[in-house]
Amino acid sequence: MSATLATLWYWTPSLALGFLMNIIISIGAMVLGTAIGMAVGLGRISTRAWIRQWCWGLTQFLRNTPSLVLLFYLAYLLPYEIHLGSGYVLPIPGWFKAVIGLSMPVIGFMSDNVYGAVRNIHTDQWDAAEALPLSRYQTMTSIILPQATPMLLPPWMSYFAVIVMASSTASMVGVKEILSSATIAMESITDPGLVIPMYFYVLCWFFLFCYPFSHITRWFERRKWQ
Amino acid sequence: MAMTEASAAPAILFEAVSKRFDDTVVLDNVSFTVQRGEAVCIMGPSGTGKTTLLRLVNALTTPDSGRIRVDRFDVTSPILEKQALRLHVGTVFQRYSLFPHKSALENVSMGQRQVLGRHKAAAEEKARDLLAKLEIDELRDRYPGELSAGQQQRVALARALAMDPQIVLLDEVTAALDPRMVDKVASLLRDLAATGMSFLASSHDGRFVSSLSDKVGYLSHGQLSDLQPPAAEMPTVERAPADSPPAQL
Repeated sequence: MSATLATLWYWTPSLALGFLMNIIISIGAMVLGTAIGMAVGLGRISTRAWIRQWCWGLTQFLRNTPSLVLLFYLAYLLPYEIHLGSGYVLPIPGWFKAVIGLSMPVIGFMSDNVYGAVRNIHTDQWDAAEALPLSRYQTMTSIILPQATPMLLPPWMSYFAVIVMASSTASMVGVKEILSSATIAMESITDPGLVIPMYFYVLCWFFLFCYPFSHITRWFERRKWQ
Repeated sequence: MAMTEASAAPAILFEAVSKRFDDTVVLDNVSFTVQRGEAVCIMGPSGTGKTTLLRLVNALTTPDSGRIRVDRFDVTSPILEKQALRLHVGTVFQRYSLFPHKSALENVSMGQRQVLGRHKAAAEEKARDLLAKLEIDELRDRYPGELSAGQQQRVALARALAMDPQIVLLDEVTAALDPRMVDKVASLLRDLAATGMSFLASSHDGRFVSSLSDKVGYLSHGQLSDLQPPAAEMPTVERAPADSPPAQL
């Protein structure tokens, strides 16, 4: 037992660096996916039919395709590097492809949630804003979104934890995150008896990071918003 | 004194307006006018179409047939500039529809700032003046969830008046007010009517109708009676549907 713990402790810095990459990928995916997803969600209530239809179609596609398949697809679709002028080459690293790939389900999720939250605002608020008369932009930014945003935070926090757990799939496209770091460690150790403890240790990293989010989410749900 | 065509035109004109929701005829060939500086009240039981009638005026709802003119605007025109129309028409909703994330002061001042472009200080001064007239200035920093129904109703009225409209639509504006406050609101609105502001109100409240109205109509089964001056003491209309209007109408 003490030898197992000593081995796990020895590999902890490497696993920690790997887990840091999971967090970076997750944050990047959430930031990118949230920004685009909110735009797509608001596009679903656009006054222009073609925008509404396009945004609805994109949401349905992203909500009904597996994120791992999207990740593989984008990993092969996106080039390894981009050749710019004057011989300059811009590399596209694997972690960046993972951010793009994992932002896809976030876009679909945010689109659905923004659309639902906005639709949940009573029509009386829209009528009162129109009667003032606020423009559509003013109505959305001053009246509707400030009321809808608190409804988005609890599911957004929960989904962040989901994306963190899904970030381990980035190892499938060559990103050195915690799962691939554990695999590298096992290849170095060559002791099959450490397989279960090592991957259980990786599980614990995810659990200890994601579990507090459920408490934070419940706090947001209980908190009164003015 | 010769009257120009603009000043002779009514503030609100309904010509043979009909509106139905699915199989229910809410308004059936309704015609009436509201002159400038005039206060007209529409009475009738709940569910008879009074709110729909008011919503037609500021184009929150469209009629199935007929013609509606509000000031110089043809409300039934497909090219109506709704925002321009609503700058002239203030609305007090039956359920107040205050913005819950904004204080009473912010509810009354935000339209002035964002739509009329007034500076914050000027908008808040006007807001406070109106809230003071309605005896709720001390509650200006409270949020709608912290106000009683009567207080919310007064904030909603202040919000509409703060935009300096030429026409104000009032949907059951005194439903949550005590008799003293009903008289105060009616007095405030009479003073505004004397400056040329026109009012179209729906109400069950006989006291309010008697105090404010120049003319009263009764809406029942989609049809509006001829507008008549109110009696000295108008009865409060029962909220349940009735087959005929009160005797005073």
